[in-house]
Amino acid sequence: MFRLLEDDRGRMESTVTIEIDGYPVIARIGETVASALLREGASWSRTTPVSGARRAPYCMMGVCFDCLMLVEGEGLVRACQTLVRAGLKVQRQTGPRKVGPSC
Amino acid sequence: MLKPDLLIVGAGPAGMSAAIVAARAGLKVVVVDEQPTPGGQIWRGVEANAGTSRGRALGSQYCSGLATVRAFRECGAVYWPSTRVWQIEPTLGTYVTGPGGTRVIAPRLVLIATGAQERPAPFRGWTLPGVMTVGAAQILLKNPGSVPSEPVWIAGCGPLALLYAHQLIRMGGAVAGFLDTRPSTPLRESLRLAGRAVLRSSGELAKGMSWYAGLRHRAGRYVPGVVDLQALGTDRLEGVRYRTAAGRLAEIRTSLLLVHEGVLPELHTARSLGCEIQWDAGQAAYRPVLNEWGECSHPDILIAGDAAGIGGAEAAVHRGRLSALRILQRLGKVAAEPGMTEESCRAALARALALRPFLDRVFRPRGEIFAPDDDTIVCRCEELRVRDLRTVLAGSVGPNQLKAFTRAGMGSCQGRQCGLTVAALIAAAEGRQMGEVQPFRVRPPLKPVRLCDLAGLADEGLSS
Amino acid sequence: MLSRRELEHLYPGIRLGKDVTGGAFSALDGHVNPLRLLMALQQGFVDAGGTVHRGRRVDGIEVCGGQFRLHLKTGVVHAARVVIAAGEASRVLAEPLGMTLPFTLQRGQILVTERVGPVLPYPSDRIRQTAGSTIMIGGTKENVGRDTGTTAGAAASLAARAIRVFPDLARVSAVRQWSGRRVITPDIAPIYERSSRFPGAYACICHSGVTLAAYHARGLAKRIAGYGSWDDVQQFSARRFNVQAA
Repeated sequence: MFRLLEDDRGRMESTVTIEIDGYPVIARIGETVASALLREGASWSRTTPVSGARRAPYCMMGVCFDCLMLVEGEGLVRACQTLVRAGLKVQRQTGPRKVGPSC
Repeated sequence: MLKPDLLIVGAGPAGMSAAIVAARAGLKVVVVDEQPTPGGQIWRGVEANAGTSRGRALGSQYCSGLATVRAFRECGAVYWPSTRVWQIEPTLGTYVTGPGGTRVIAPRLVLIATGAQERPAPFRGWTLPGVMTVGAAQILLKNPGSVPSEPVWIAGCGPLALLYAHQLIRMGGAVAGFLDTRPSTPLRESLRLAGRAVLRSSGELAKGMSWYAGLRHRAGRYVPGVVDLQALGTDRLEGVRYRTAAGRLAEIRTSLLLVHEGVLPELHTARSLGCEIQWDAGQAAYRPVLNEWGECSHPDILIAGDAAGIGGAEAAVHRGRLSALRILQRLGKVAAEPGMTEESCRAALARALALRPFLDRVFRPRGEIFAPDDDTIVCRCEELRVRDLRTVLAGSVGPNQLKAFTRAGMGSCQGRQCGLTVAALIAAAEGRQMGEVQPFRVRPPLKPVRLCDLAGLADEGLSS
Repeated sequence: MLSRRELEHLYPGIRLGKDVTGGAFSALDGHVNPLRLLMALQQGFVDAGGTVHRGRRVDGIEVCGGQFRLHLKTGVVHAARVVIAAGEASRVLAEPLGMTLPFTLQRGQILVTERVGPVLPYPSDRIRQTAGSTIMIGGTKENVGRDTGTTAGAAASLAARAIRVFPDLARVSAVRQWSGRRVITPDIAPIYERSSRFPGAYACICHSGVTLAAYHARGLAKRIAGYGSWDDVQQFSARRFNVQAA
């Protein structure tokens, strides 16, 4: 839904690669996971635990809690408040969080 | 356990300005902020952007934040970025979680400078991916410098919607269309409110008018008098249907809609401490009950900046300083800067607020926001529509029992997105004024906190 | 009583902490959603022809010509029979009607987590998963009078205990903490009182009204309405405490 401005495309030295659902995503150092996600084709962040509806980042300032994702296995993390770092593994949170020995 | 003289929650214009005055006067000050860098929402990323082409496009008012951020960095206050406050107890025991783990702070006084959030304005389909707030898009503009990939549709009312459109166009983005939801304002009343403010703030007014003119000129389409919106699509936004006051229905195709209906003070922190609030009809928002220093109904808590009532960045600076001066007075200190007096701060605050009544009137939100139809989701977290609340609303059980019966406001956002709408629905159902209805009681934690972080406190000997 | 191994069979989806040696199980125990119960009781009452006057505080009850006069802010209500079941406000209302209700207040704090997949198929008195799939962790017992605030200290000890029993909950987030006041009688059993001086006046206080709701709605209500003998209820009179004192 979003694209980086032209003047920033050349700054490859300031990028890192994160993983969203196993796919590599290039992100700018200093940006948030939600911000990187919004440049992806599928920019939704989770499905709700109630109806399974898809949600995407809405407010980007930490007050709507719709960009909740699993970050390095941690649940209920607001992607809009999480800075990217090289190799960060992020997953869309689908439905209620699974709890158990495997987590 | 850290025991500072003053804990400031929020490193925006108000929090930083207060920290500078207090720390320079010799107080031990701790500032906790959720963001990784200082500046709040308004000056977000200003250290990185000032002096660049992006900074220039964002405007001089934005870049002016750099001076405050630099002074704040050097003032001697302890600054914890990327840290969230999840509970302040009435005894001021404060619990925060950040990069350094979970910590307890026991300050003598607390200044809440948590700013504002955008007004939740529910309409059918507003939870679809592809519907975002204008504020969210502006955050992306500041960092990392993203713009909508296609010419974007904006729907809303308020200075921020105009400012964003203006900034976006300057930075090379494009506005496909602007659905203006601003109700028409009686000219005579607006002029009366503008009054002397016009003379004092002619520059501001001219700027605002130029944004409007630019928008009408450079947006693909400009539609005034929009009263109803509906986002269309199943898994993501595919289009928007809108209705104008004149009754005209129309539909557009788009995968991104930015919405904005003004801003509200952040009240969760103050209300979790039982601080009194009141309904401000002019701003169509609840605000804390404060004296001229920002002192609230809790004796050891002060509130400054937009959290004290929407006033904008400049007013926030002066409110922050005034609260800091009061804090110095209470703790037996004096300001280090010679010009930092109550009189100068008050005069500057009055100037900064001069245009506010006019802005509040011109951008007063449309009534439809407070009375969404039965199909509209009110509580985004629990996915409750107005229809789901009707039976309980008819029983006049009040906000807290309504919350208990329906789960509205019980989700992760803790009522930040539905509280005001629910209060309005209760007021309408019971034929009462907003001022007679209290929003949901706010309970800790203010932000979700992991059980292991909580349990860690027990290991430190903290238990009931 | 169950061994640790038997407990593990009851909770196949989650590990037990190393300190868990066993548990107690009763097939008669269950979980009732208190909010839905309250709503259902109110609805049942209305369906049976009752009227709820919401938001009306009763300032006092007088006896007048064999009738009870309830003084409300908005006026007076007359009744041939009155049941005082106002929790901690009951004492003040019951005293003039010749009924003494000894109790103290106890604060209980509860921690509620985010919604998680189903992991706790059985409720316990300290931790249970609700129909909404959140996990409720309770409850403290505190002597703090009327204070219904919540404390981080209580949250810390509730969380620590939950993790001790179910370590997999460590990274689950708490989204809400709340507290309420319990009405605790000297022997924790309910008090059902019938005024001997003013026939037609009754009082009922207990913790918890959720647990005892089935009895209150059927057995007790029937006896107050005049069906069945009061004899077996008599032992729950507050007079039982005077006997002990003597």
